[in-house]
Formats: sequence, structure tokens, C-alpha cells
Amino acid sequence: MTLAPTTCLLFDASCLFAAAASPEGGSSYTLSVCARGYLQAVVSLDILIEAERNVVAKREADALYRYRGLVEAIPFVVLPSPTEEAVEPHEGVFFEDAHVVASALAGQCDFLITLDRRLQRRVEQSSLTFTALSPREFLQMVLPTHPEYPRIRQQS
Amino acid sequence: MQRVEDLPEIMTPDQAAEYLQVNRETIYRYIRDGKLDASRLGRSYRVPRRSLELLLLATRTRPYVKYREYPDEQIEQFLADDVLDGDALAVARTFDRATGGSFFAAERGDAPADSTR
Repeated sequence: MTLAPTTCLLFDASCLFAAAASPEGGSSYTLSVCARGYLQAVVSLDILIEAERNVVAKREADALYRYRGLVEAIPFVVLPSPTEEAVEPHEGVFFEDAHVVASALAGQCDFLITLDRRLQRRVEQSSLTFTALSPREFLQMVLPTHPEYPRIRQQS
Repeated sequence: MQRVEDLPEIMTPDQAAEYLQVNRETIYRYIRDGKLDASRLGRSYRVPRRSLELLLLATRTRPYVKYREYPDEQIEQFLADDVLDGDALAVARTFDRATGGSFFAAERGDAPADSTR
């Protein structure tokens, strides 16, 4: 597939958590690419709640401020909570992550960006319409296929 | 009826109880059980309105949506896997420099151009 500003990346709670906890990490950088309009960042209301609850429970106040700053600064497409009918078919394979998969499908996302290896493996083993990658894998393997990257690389 | 935007951002337990239409003991129990985030200032609690809204969202009666609570070991793994290094770091630096991003501006010695980091 060809990357474009309309390419949709659904970020799960693990990435939002990591971006809040580690502003120099791959999640944070991938979100910054979206913030500058090269790709479209997507989340769901449930993913935002899940991330914020974990940041509050596991991190200090500075991470919570960063998290809230990210949510305000990044022009996310925020999907509504998926319906029971959309979540239920995925519960058998994805358990607590069924709502994430339902949202990625409902939002017609191209990529699910996650740091959860188990979720990534389960997506790989299922025939879904999107690809699950970690931020590092996305940067390494997919961002260089951005149509502007060859020109960018020549310039630098 | 008071409009939501007119409600204070920070509430006392009594105001929080009125907002959620529960009694104040329930508010104290939610705070003790870690279900509601509050700050203790001296001998009294203050509750951000956002915490109350989050509690309402998180306790919606939708048993088909479950939220993960990441254990510490998994968080360590997330943060280790999120470190930018090797080829990913090289791609990110190249992309950032050529597109005028500010993510690596400090290491380049540039003035930051945006505030997304």
C-alpha cells in the first residue's frame, strides 16, 4: 500500500501510555508524524479511557500532563465506542482487546500501532484488513515507503 | 438546573456526591478503593471534575468492553520496545530533518518549530 496523509493509524492504549511516559520514544515520534499531517492518527473513546486510567494508576503527574497535552495537540479522529455486535465476534480471540480490533475495523484503519506483542501476534494470525506493527517496526519498514521519503532522503 | 460548563473544575466530596447523585460516603469509598482520583489537601479531599467524568465513562454498563490494567512487567516491556534505535531512529531522524520537524531539533541545535513533542 502507498502511504498518504489519509492513511489511518489506530494507536492502542499501550502506545498512548508509552508516549506519555517516554516523550523520546517511537510512539511519541510516530504520533508527531501524524500531528504534522503526514498520516492520520485514530483512537477510540475507549482507548483514550484505557490509556488515561493506566497513566493515572502507574505514572506520576508529569506523565498525566503529557498525556493530556498529547490528546489536545494531536488531531486524532476519535471513533465512538464500538457496539456490542461489533465487539462480540472478536472476544474469543482478542479477549480484552476485542474493542480495539472492532474499532480498527469500524474506522477502516490501515495499521494498528501497538506495543502489545500478544495483540500483535493475534492480529497477524487472524485474517483482518489491517496490519499490526510496533511503532519501531512502522518507522523501520513502512515510513520509508512514504511517497515523499525518497525525495526527503536525497535532500538530507 | 446547573449547566455542566458552570460546574467547578475542582470539587469537594460533597459537591462530587451531588454531581454523581450518590451520598458522600460513597465518594469516600471510591477514593479509598482507588476508583476515583482525588487529592488530599490537609485534612480534606478535592476531586477534579474530570475524574468524576472518567469514573462515569469507565463504569458504563457495557460488559462487552473491558479495559486492560497493565502490570508493571508489561509496562517495562512496552517502554523497552518503544526505545528509538537502529534503523527506526535513522528513518525518524531523516524524516524529521527533511520535513522541518522539531522532534530532534535539540540534538540538531535548532530552535523548536512545533509543540507536538
